[in-house]
Amino acid sequence: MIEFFHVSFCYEPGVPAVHDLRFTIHDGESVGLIGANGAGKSTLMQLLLGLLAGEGAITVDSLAVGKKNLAAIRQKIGFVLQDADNQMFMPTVLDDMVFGPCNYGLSRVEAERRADEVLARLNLSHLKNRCNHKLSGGEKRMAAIATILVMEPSIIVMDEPTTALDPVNRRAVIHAINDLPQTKLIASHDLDMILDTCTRVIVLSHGEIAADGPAQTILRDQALLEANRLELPLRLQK
Amino acid sequence: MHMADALLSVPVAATMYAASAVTVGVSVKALKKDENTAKLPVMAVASALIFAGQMINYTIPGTGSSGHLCGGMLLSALLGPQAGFLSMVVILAIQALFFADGGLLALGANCWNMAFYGCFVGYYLIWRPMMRGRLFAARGEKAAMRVKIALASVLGCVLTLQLGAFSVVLETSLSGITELPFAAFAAIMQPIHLAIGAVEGLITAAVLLFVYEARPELLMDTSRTTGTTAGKLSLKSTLAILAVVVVLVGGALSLFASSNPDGLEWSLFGNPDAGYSENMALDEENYGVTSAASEAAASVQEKTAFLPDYAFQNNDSAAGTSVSGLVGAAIVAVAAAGICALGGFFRRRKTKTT
Amino acid sequence: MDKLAKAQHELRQMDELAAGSSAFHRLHPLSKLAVTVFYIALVVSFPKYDLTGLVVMLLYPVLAFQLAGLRIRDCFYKLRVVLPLVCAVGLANPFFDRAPYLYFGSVAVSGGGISMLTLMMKGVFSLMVSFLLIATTRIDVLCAALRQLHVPQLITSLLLLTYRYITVLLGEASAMTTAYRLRAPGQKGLHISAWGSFLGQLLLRSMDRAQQLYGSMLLRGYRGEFPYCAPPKARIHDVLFFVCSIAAFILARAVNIPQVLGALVTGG
Repeated sequence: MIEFFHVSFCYEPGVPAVHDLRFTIHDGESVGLIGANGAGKSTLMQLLLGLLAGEGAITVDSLAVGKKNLAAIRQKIGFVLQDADNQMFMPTVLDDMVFGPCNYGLSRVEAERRADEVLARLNLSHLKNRCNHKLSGGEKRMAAIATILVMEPSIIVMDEPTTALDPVNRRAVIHAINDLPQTKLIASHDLDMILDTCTRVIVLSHGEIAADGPAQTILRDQALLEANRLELPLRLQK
Repeated sequence: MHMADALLSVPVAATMYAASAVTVGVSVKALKKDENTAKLPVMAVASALIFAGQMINYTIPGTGSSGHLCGGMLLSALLGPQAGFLSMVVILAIQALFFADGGLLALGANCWNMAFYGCFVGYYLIWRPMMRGRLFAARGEKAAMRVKIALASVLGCVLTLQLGAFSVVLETSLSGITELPFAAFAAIMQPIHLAIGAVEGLITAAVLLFVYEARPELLMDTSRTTGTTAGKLSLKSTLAILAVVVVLVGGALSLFASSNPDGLEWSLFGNPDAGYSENMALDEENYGVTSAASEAAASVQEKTAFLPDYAFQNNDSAAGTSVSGLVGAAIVAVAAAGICALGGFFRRRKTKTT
Repeated sequence: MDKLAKAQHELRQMDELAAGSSAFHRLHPLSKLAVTVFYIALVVSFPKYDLTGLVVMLLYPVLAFQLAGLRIRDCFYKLRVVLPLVCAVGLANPFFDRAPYLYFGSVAVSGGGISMLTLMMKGVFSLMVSFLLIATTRIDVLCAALRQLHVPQLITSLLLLTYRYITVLLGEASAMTTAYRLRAPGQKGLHISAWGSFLGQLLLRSMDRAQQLYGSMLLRGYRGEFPYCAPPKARIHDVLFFVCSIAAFILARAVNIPQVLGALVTGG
C-alpha cells in the first residue's frame, strides 16, 4: 500500500513542482499516472522512491519513506526507467539482473538461478548472455523489466514503458505488464496503453491532482482530459 | 601522444607504471575518504563523454585541418583532480585494450604523460589558483570568471601538453629506442604539441564556458555568482582574444624550445655525440666511452630491472647477423605461415562439418 | 566524422570475438594476462640489432591466433594507430646510424636500418598479443581477474561502467554529428562557433544521465560494491599454459633459435 499525505516539493524555492498530493494506492491496484509535460509525474515517482525528499509524508506498507527505511522500501519497489540505457549499466543482461539481488545479500549462484527463472517467464532466455549495448530497443525495454522483476518487488513503478517501441513490441510490453500481479504505478502519455493496463487513473496538472478515479470513467471524459492538455485515447476517438 | 609498447624499455615502462600506480592509489584513497558513492556514475559517464569527444573533428578556422581533445584539463575542471585522473586512466586503458591506441606495457607511461599532468598539474598549478584568485575582478564577477576559465583552459592545456610531450621524448630517449638525438627529438615534439595544446585549450575553454553559462555548479571552484553582468564578454570575442594570446605565448615558447634543449641535453647526457648515442651502438672503438649521465641511467636500469633477461641485455654481440641467422629466420617465417594455413584449413573443415 | 561510427563498429567486433568459446577463450584470464605482459616485456627487451632472434617470437601469437580461431588480418586493421608513431621514431634510425652492419653480397644494410625493422616488429608483435588477450577475454571476466589482483574496486567498477557508456555516448555523439552535417553541407568538422555548445550540450545531458543512472543503481541496493562474476578457478591446463609459455619465451630470448636452426641447415 502506498500513501501520500500532503506531499509537496520545490526544485526552486517558491515554485512547487508538486503541491499537496494526497492519495492512497491499495495492494494489487494498477494506477495510471497521466498529465501534460511538466505536470509533476517524474517528481512524484522520485519522491516515492526516496530519490527526492519533500515535505509531507509518504508511506509504503506503513514504512515512512526516508533515510532510515530506504533500503527496505527500495527492495519493495521496482522502478523501470524511461531510458533503459540508464538502467542497464552492466556489460551483459545477466550481470545486470544479478546486480540488485547480490546487493541485497543473495549469492551469485542463487541470483543467477532467479534470473534464469524470470527470463524464462518472460520468454527472454535467449537474451541472457547478450551485451546490453547490442540489444534492440524492444529487447532492451523487456530486459529492463526483467532486471526489476528479479528483485521480486511487491510494487512496480514504470516511467513511460512504451515510448519508442514498434506496435508489436508495444503490445508485448502491455501483455507483460498485464501479467504482473504486483501493485503498479505507470506514468505515461500513451493513454491507450493506460486504458489497457490500468484500472484507476490519477491526472496531474501543475503539480496537483486534477482527477482521480476509475480508468474507464476518466479516460472517456473528453472535457476533463482536454482541460489538462490531454486528449481521448485514440481508440475512443470518433 | 599515445606511446606504443615498442617505444619503451622494460625498466622505463616499469618505473612509469609504478609512478602511475602510486597516483592511482593516492587518488582512490582520497576519493574513498569522500564516501560519496554518487561520484562513480558521474565519473563513468564523464569518461565515456570524453572518449566520444576525442573522436569529434574540430575544424580549426582558416586551416582546413582539425584539432582534437585530450580531456585531462576538462575532466579535472568537472570532477576534480583525483576523480579526473582515474577517469583518464580508464579511458587510456580502454584505448590501449580495445583500440590499440597505446599499449599494455606503455599504459603506465601514457597515464603519466596524459593523465597526471593534465589532471594534477593542470588543476593545482593553473585551474584552482586562477579560479580562486581575484584576477580581472574589475570586470565584474561573472565576466571575470569567464576570462579566468578561458585563460586557465588554454594555459593549462598548453602547459600540460608540453610536459607530456617532453616526457615522451625523455622516456623514449631513456629507453634507448631511437637514434634521433635528444635535442632534435625535443625540438620536433615541443613545437608540434604547442600548437596541439593551444587548439585543445581553445576547445576546452569553449566547452567549459558553455557549461559555466548553463550550469556553473558543475565546475570545480567556481562558486555560483549572481553578480552583475556588466562588461559581458561574448564567447566569440573571448576566443579571439585568447587566440591572440596563444599565438604570442606560443611564439615565445617555441623560440625557447628550439634554443634550449641543447643545454638540457648537455646537462643530462654529457656530449651526445661521443657518449650516450654512440654508446648504444656497437662500435668497438667507442664502446668504452661513457658519460656520467649514461652511467647513471644504466645504474637506474640495473636497479629497476626485475626481469632476469636484463642480465644479458648488452649481449648483442653481433647476434643474428650471419647468413645462418637469416636462414633460420626464414624457416621460422615459413613455419608461421604453415601454422596459419593449417589453422585456416581446420577452421574451414569445422564450419563444413557443423 | 565517421570516426565515431568506426569506433562503435570496432567495439562491437571485439565483443563478438570475445564471446567465442575456443580453448584459448576458456583459459584463466589471469594466466592470459600474465603471459601477455611477460611476452611484451620480453619482446621489447630484445637488443635493437637482434632482428633474427626476434623473429622467433612471432610463433606465439601466430599459434595462439589459430587456437583461438582469430584471423590475423583482423588485428592488422588496428596497426594504423600503432605504426605511425613507431615509424616516426624508427625512421630516424637509418639517418643517424649509418655504419654498415650487414652485407647482402655487395649491398650494405646499415645498423639503423636493422634497428628500425626490429622496432617495427616489436610494435607489431605487442599489438598482436594485446589484441589476442582482449579478443579472447570478456571485459567483465577481465575485471573480475583484476579484482583478484587487488586492483581497487573503484577502478574496476569505473572500467565496467565506462565501457558500457562509451557505446551509448558514441551513439549520441554520432547522431549529433549526423544532425550537424545534414545542416552544414561541405563542412569537414565542427565549426568553431559550435565547439563549446556541441560537446557542452552532450555534457549537460550526460550529467543528467549520470543522475538517472545513480538513481537506478541506488534503487537496486548499490552501496559502493559491484558484484563481480566469480572468476573461473585455475585448472591444471591454465598453469601448464602459463609455465610452458613463459619457459618458451625465456628460451627464445636466451638462445637465438633462428641462428641455431640456420646453422643446422647450412652446416655453418
